[in-house]
Amino acid sequence: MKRFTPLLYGLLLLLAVPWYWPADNHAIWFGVPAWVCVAVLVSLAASILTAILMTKPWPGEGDSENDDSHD
Amino acid sequence: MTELLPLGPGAWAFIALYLLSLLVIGWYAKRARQADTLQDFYLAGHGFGFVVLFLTLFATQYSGNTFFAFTGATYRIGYAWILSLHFMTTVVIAYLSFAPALHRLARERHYLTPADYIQDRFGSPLLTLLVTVIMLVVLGNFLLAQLMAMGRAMQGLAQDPGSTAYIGGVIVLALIMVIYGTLGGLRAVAWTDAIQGGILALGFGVLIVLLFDHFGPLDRATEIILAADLANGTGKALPPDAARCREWLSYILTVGFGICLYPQAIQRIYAARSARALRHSLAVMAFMPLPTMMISLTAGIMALAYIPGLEGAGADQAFGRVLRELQGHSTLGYGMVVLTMAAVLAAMMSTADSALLSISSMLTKDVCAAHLTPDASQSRLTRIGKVSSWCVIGFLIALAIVLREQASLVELMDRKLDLLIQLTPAFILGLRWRGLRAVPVAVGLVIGVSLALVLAFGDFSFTSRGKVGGFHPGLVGLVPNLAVAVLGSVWRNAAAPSRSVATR
Repeated sequence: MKRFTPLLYGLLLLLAVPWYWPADNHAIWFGVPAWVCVAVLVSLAASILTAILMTKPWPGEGDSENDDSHD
Repeated sequence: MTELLPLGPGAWAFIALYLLSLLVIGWYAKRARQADTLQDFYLAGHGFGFVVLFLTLFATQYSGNTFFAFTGATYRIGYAWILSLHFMTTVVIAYLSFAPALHRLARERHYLTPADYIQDRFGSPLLTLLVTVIMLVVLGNFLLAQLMAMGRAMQGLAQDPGSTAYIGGVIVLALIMVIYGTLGGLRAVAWTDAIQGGILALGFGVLIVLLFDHFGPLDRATEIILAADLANGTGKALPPDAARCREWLSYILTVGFGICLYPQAIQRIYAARSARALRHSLAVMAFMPLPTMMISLTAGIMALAYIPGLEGAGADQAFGRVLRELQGHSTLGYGMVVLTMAAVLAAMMSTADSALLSISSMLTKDVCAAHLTPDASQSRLTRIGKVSSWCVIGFLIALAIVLREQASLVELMDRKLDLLIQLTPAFILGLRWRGLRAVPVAVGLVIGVSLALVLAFGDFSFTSRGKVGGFHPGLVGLVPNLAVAVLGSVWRNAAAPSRSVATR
């Protein structure tokens, strides 16, 4: 997955900016303009991807680190 | 905010209690100190676990801007300010590009300030000095903006159209901040951040419910704005044009990569107890833009639909006007506005205290310890740090009072990030490419900063508020900055490959 990460973020960036919507689009989805709704969904997808990546241990993790099982 | 109804004694008592609790936390943080060292004072002994780290990251990242400037920006440009959701998400994504390596190095090499990494990685006092100066300028500007926002908030709460409440607010809130900051250092700041983050989350939750309860569903507001678009050609609910899309992209890159390079953000990476704690905190942070940005966006949209007539800088009053509407709506509304105002103060103070502590740490470690008092003990340096906090806050209080009628908050934010993003090659590229060399990075940095400032403050026919074709001056400056850093390093490595610095 790591190999495709920049590609996935690039794709999300491409979808996030609403350049591809026709200027006269008046559709309303869930109370907001349709293009806003798509922008929110893309942002949510980016958050989920980021959270998934954060679940994987980082290189060198665990070396000379204290236990962090409590706060 | 001068439109708010007067607050009763109960409301003032609640706010006073909240402020008092910060001082108590500062005192407890002082008692929790484990050593009289800079590492303990400024990084809490690298002891932050998941919960504290997440709350301090949250409270530090979301400031007074989240309420006032972002609601105002939504009022000004409409739904297109949904771009704020994207740039706040990009901040967390940007952390991914350097936090893992930087956290590991910080643990191994005992970094205290961002300049410690620069000196260690590049071995260049000149580059270290440049980075320190840029960060101090940015943080000074940042802290000043927060102090001014605090003054305006108190002005609104006290219903004082004059300057007395503004001046009093700036002085009292700044003093409280510096007292708990010098009592307990980063430990106090993070613990108060945890309280402030909690109030912030509660305030956000309550506010969104009240907004819909008072103004009605979002689709009605959207239809009103859309009708105005079609009648007047305002374009606040229609898809943005090409120029706005370029600006959108520019905001994502400039703000996203700029905010993660704030010194206080970098120091939180250092302060994490472990990579695991940091990873988990950032994973939760990835979802925070959605609820937080939606509040200011919804407030701005409701104001746009139902409170017309706020033009230009007056748009920054949109959040205050919305609160006024909610406050007069019901007793519950009044109570919730008090809670929201406490959350606003919390957001400003939690952002400002982190900036103040970072400034103090850089003055102490990167200026005093490095150049003025190299033989001073850790205990003496810690005392110097505390004194420097008081000096800095005194100076900035005076500036905040003198400059109280200045430009809108978003403009201030734009200029800071135009400078910070110039540090991308040194931090992000420097951690990923061993071949990056000090001299090209320093030259690129000077070129990038100079170009960004000239574009931002110059009067050119091809710029609009400093932006070139919708792109921030900082992003434009980053292009030659990056080109010089990369090409210069390639050239120097080809000329003298054996001198390539390897720190990882």
